[in-house]
Amino acid sequence: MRIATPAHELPPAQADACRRAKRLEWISLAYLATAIAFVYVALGSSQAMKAAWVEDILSLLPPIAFLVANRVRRRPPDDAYPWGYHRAVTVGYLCAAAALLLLGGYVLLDSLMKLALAERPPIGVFVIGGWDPWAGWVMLAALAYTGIPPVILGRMKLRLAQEIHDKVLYADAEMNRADWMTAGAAALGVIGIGLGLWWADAVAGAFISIDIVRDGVRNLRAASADVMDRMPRTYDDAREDPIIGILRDELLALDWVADARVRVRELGHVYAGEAFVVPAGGGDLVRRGEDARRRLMHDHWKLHDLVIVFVSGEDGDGEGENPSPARSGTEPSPSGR
Amino acid sequence: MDQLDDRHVRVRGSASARPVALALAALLILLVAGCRFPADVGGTLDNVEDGGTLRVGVTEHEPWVSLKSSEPSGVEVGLVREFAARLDAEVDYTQGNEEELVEALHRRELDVVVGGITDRTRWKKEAAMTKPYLTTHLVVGMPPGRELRDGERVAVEDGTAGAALLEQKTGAIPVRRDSLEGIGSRPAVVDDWLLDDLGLRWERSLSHQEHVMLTSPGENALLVELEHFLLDRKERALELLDREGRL
Repeated sequence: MRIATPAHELPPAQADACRRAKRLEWISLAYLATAIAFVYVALGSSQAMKAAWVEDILSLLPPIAFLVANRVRRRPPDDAYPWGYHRAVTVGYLCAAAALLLLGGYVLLDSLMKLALAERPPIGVFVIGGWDPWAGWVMLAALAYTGIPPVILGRMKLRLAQEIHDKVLYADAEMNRADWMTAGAAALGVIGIGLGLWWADAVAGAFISIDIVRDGVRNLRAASADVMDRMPRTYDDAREDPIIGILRDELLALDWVADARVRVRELGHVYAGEAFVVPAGGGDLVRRGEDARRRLMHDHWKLHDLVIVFVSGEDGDGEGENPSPARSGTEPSPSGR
Repeated sequence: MDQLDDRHVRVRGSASARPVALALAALLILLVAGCRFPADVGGTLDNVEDGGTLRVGVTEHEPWVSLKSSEPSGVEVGLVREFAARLDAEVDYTQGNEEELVEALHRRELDVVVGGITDRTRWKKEAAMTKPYLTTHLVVGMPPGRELRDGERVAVEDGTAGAALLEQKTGAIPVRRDSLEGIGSRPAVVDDWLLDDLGLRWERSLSHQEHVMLTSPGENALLVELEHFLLDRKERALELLDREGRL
């Protein structure tokens, strides 16, 4: 008898999209490494550049999370970890979000201090070979390099994120698509310095760090919700994942099921859940339950584990009369938020 | 859903594209109009150029700045004087220690501070630093034809970091002396510009110094002007060092 499910596998269409997504993420990582190096070299004493650099470093996190998650997904559960290793990604996600928040907060504070103390950013020349242009031009070149390619990468990722319903990939794509705004804000700061507006740089730095903080809060919230087994939501966090209703409907459609209720939680990339079923009549419940479980897991590729529990439906709160999943009660209720 | 999202992004995009375009247009107009780019926050270069005064803080540090005679002299004083001459400006010197000069620089009461300052200065936050215009080394000098061996006795000026560096980086034994004057052609820890005078050969560098000048932070036109001037005159700096750098 096995209590653990096998390693998770994707259906062919999603597997293909996932392969392409993985390739894109590797390209993103390689590109980001060069961008981070370029911006670091051009950093100077501009606060806006510093903020843009921090944001570039932080945008390494989603691709890494995605790639690690896909590796972990294939690792089968074992005796010590019967639910598999999917949650490892959530742990990483939570830590990364906290780091994002802290770093963003630090840069924000730093920028505001510079503004309050009216610190004037000095930007001199940049020496490369026998050439010494104003360092601001090098910064603008670095910002152009960090601002434009991510937008293209982001668009490509967004399409794949929809196909494989992946929220990490989606978050990454959204971050990439907004990258040009970070670069644009930093460029305004640098141009401001060039025009002799000392405050432009710190203001741009503050704006960028506010954006980082916002990203941090959003991700921290999402990661905390994962840890707390919030009901899964669509990849773009727009609404509850319709899979919950669909599973229940499919169970109710079976002639031996009088009532059913489903709760699902996210384990990294995959879903796991329990279905509480009130059987109608007798028959070979064990075999029927196993059949239903197998079929549901087969039909919904994201659903990696489903446990069917037979209940009497008589736990004292009139469940049989009003089987609404949104109602709270003492029985396991998949409250739709 | 996707359409809606696209529109959302496009709206955000156009909202922030406008200031960017405006800023770029303004920049272009300024460049065409011949305004300075980068400009000074306080317009220092405009004030100094063409008959103005360059306010220079000097702190004694030979051979870079010497205050022995009534008029300051030294390698960096020479360079600053030539810089001012090129801008057609007078130089007004203020003497003081680094700390008070940097304070004045930070508050824009001075334009430039010199005094043998290197890129390891503690004043990076308070002042703007030029790119290093000259690198010098503290070296072990050996008489021609002799190798530095373990246990070699090497003369070091007392009260300098030289003795410690020598012990740390070589197997030689420092012999502390009040002055290196008249040591003859014997192994010694010296600044590289003194090697020729002492008839010594560069054996090994113990440390190196990247020489910089400090300017008022935010006065980027002046900073860039000074940096271009200094980077063009590395030879001149060496020449001045050769002349000023005596024991």
